[in-house]
Amino acid sequence: MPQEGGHVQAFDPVAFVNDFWEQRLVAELRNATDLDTLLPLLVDDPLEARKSYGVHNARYYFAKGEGRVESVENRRATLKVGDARVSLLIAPPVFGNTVRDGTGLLSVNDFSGLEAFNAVSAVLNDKVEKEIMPPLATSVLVGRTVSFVACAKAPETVGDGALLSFVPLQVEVAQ
Amino acid sequence: MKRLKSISTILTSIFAICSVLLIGCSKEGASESVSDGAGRVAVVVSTLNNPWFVVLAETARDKAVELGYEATIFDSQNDPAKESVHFDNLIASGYDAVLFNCTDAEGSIANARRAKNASVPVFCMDREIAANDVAVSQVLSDNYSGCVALGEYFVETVGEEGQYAEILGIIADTNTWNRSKGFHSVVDRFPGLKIVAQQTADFDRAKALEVMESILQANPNIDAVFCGNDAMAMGAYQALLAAGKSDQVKVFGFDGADDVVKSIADGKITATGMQFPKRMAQAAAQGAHQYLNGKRDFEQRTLVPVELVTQENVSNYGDFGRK
Repeated sequence: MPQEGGHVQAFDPVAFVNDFWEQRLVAELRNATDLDTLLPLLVDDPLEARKSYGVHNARYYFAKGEGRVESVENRRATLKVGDARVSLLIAPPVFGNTVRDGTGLLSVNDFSGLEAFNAVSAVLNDKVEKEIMPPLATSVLVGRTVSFVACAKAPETVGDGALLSFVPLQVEVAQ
Repeated sequence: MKRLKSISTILTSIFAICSVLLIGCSKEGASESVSDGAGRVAVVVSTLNNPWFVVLAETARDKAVELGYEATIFDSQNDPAKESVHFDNLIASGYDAVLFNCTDAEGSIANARRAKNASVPVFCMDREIAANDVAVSQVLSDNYSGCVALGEYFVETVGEEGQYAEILGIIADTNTWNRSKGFHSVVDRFPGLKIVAQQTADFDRAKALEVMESILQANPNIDAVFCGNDAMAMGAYQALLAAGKSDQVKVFGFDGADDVVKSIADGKITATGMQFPKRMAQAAAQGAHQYLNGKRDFEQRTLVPVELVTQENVSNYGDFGRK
């Protein structure tokens, strides 16, 4: 099969991600947008919500909040947060760039090129799968209260019944 | 000695200008549009043997003309050597800026650097060059994210079990691998989906037809083929049609070319990723205009989101973008 050639890089995405997580992300978790602020605004004025709280060209939300588990289905928990509901991914796989881009802390221009930037995405997803998600399958149960910090893609439209779909960065479950 | 050097320089310049003019008269070379503006912009494109790149190049040229420049398209015909000659010519001819769609992420760096060293700013479109200090800016499709979405749709439509093939683009182009890696970041998580062949067809429709024929001979029972661009998707579809397997094998492309968008509407192709060549070309031309008017603070890379086009939403797309 064809092999990728000519793009040998010294960049170590695993080392980068470990350093990023410990040195930058953990400290930033407390600055995530409060869901009690974001969710009502998303209903009342989605454009303003995107403008005020969207990150990475307003394509993602980086948010924190607390909710009660209403259901668990297909790797996702539906949480009631205030009067609203959100979806939280609690089991692998994690696809895409939501974790990489959803905090607003990383930019393609911080890297040597797209390959390195995309490699970071894959490693971040892997880290969430291996370090954040494993306890969730047995602890995120209907009726329990979950506190979390997470990222979600900003929906193009709201009001069609689709929930904000979060990928967790930190989760605590009240027993 | 100094006089000889001057004569040599003049002759080189005359030769270079004549080369551009000759290419301008040839069927496969450059096409020129002239405006009343003072500046000249070169549009160097990897190939014009693909409608998607024709749209990219012509939009860049037209936007440059609209902004008041004389603009010429140089077709590299997917040949780094031809691209290198184009850069020699445009530098010697005194172009003011280059709107650049490269042939090789690594190999094209030297060409762009020669232009930079000659004070000719370079603005990349669609294809990345693997350096941060050469182009003024690079407006690029978010291929990886686009192919993550395509991969998710692939699993949704093909199912979590089956055999599939992948037809890759040009091996030296980072777009080839950003697309392939985005796709595999999803599909590889489903062990029931087995890749039985992975071959390159250089983003070329005719080559993809041949590659697909070859793949079908060895693997007559595949369920799907993922192609790294739409030209190859059309070539693969032609091969499947000829083999009587167009209803059996789902074809996935990438680009958002008009013929593939129409084929999705007709139920022939399953899905593609819509890039926005016009948006990228206009942004590159606008960037060059701003640079030539004094702006210097450019983001090195700007990613343009790619949108998944399926039978469910195909009515929203056409003419290489959203309707």
